[in-house]
Amino acid sequence: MKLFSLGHLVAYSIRLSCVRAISYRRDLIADLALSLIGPASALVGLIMIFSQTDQLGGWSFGEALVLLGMFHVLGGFKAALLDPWLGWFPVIAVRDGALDVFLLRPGSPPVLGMLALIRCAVLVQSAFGAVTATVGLTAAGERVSASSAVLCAVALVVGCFVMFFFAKGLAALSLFAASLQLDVFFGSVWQFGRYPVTVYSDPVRVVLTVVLPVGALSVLPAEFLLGQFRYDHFGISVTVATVVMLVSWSLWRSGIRRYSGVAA
Amino acid sequence: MPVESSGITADRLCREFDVPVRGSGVGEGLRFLLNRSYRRVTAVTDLNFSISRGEVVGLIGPNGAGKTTTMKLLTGVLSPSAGYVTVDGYTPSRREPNHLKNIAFIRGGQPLGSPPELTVLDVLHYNRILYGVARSDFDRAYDQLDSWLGLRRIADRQVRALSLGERMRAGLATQLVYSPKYLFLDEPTTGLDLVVAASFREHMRRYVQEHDATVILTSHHMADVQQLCSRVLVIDDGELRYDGALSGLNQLRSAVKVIRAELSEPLTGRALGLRSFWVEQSVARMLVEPTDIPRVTDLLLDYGATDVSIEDPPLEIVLADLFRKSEP
Amino acid sequence: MIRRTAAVIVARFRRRYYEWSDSRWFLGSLVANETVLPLLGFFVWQSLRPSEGDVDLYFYFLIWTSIATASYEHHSVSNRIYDGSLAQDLLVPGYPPTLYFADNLALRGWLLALSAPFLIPLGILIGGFTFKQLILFLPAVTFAAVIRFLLGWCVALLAFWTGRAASIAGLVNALNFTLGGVALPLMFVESPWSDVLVALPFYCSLGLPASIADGSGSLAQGLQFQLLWTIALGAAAFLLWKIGVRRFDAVGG
Repeated sequence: MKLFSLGHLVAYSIRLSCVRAISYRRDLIADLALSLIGPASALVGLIMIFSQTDQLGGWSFGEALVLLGMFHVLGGFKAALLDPWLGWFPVIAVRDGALDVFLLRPGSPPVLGMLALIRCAVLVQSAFGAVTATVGLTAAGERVSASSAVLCAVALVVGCFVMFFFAKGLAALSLFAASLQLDVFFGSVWQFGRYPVTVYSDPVRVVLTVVLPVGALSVLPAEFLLGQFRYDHFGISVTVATVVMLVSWSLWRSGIRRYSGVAA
Repeated sequence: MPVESSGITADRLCREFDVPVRGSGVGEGLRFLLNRSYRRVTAVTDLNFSISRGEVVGLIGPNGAGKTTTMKLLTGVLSPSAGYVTVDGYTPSRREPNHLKNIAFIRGGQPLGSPPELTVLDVLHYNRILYGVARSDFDRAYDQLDSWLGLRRIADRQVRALSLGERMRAGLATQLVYSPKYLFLDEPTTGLDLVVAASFREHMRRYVQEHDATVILTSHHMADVQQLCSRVLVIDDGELRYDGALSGLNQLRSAVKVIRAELSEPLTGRALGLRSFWVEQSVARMLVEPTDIPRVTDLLLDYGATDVSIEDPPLEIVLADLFRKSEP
Repeated sequence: MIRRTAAVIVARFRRRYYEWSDSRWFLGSLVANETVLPLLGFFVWQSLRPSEGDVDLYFYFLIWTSIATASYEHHSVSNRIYDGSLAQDLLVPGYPPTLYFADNLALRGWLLALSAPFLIPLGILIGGFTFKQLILFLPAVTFAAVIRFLLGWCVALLAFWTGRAASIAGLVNALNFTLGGVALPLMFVESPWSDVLVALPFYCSLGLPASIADGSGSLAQGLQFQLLWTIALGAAAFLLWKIGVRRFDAVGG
């Protein structure tokens, strides 16, 4: 699909999502409330932990708040775009055969599927994350330079790509085993990202950085925002993003080849 | 990239599936959890046919014959296990965007594939952008679809609130709005009443004429096939049994005839030694081999039947007979 | 009546048992899901309090509790409400929620059977608990299982009113994590916070059995709260079902 028409499609899908959101008032209120209560409870959890300690894995309270903020900024993207699709995919698309419809549309089936199910209201979680990060920066006494902000934005974009390809790879696995429903698993692994990766023991840290990279995605943008230019971390992230992209691409390709539809 | 050939070609097309099998009992359940057994099932085998541009072809056969698998292979939802297919020179399973913009796979009773909260017009506009249809072409197609399907009356309605007939019209509109040249219609009139089904056939006939479209249609309703298709492919147990003109199916009648008789007293098929026998408002119809006709007519007259006549069987009966003969 | 209900539960249990024998990946992913959050809490607290041996024991029993109380009614039941297939369940003679209760038992049975071969050797390796602690763990975890089922069931029934039951269930999971003794074991919380947490349903359905098993919690006090929540949530479940089915009937599913 050409870039221009993809942009056009994204814009139209967001518009439709907004129209859908406002036509169901109760769901809209639920979306908005839940997008705030969830992160707020995570904040309470962090405050509780810091009532017992003054540092977590080498991170002060302010720094951990910045990290939690980035976790929610990325979490908003996940909740708006990836979660609805990942929940829909194994059941409706694979088991009930709705994937047929998407396979016959001119464009990437995961992208078209996500755009069709996008839920814009929950992006308020990202806004909450941004506020949390700002409060964290103040508490940590950090001033953000322009270069830090740009690098943080780049890291967030890389993070979104990693999450997209990770979700695509997980969905592709359900093409091999139709009973596999990995949205819940994705959600659980994702929770690891709310704390600094240095909290975990070495093997767990390696798993969260390399094998299940969504567990450590919030670290890099938080580090950049805090002025810690860890280019080695950036290098690892870009490498991991590339590997995730390639693995997910090949999983999807062979999964689709295996896909057999319901009425076959 | 497409090769230089229009129309549809299937060459030694096969598709197999591995389906899991399990015995009953608690132990079997546990064993199945740890180690699954599969059985290989052949859905279609060695299909060979070609369809020229602009032809309308019926693909018919009993349930489980392999019709839907064939349609999925032709559209590219499934890849063949062996053999190959081309549609307008493209290999469907590659799902190239230019090919996908050229085809539509319309399945009866299938959801529209869009969120139910959207209106019909939302879905149409979405497809306009998705299929890269120019605004002027869209407006033209929309007007045309409106005159066929009464689209404007349902355009502002949410998909979830449409009746079955309206959903069919909306589904058809969203698939035809980008003017596909190849239509794959899989049981398109399933669940529709006679009036709506007849109007569907009329829309299709006009679309085919105006767009010089190529159509493959599967249907259990013989009226669909008889009114739209000049040629039929009969498929049974995954194999092609017949490929030719609809009228040519008469050659396969294998000399079966229908005897019609008005009954003066209740009568069963068993009394006449016949399996295919049915009665409607005291008029009985039965399927009879020609050599058996004298015996059956004599017996009918003995039972006091009047107005006994011999007819050619309708197409449904011919096909049922054809498929029964192919059973082992 | 009771005999018939029991027979229906057994029949449904068998049906699900066979159904899920075809779903090893699905069951495996659920075990992973139930394990991952207690593990997360474990890693954090092992890092913060490496010298305290009770942390290992607490989180070990928390994993058992999490698996034994697993509830996914917010997926299964709410989807049946959304797509209208709940109508079929309403035609079954008897009280339909018993069908889902049987489903829940079958699922937990599978999850426990799958995880036991890993968890039992791990328990032997960790050690440090007595037979008495294990016995005390059992009633607490049974009540916890009932409370988590009822809580999940109530959330699932919200699907009669909103299309966001799954999101609300996600929120309950987040609260389970934060307030249920996963992110923060009660042994590290001071009064009055600990008095509040121990009285919440989240803690009663997760952290409480683990704290009783590791010896840091009080069984008598815990059972009191568990009993209260069982009654309260049971009544809520009964009412939500009754009103919800009436609504389902009115709007045609």
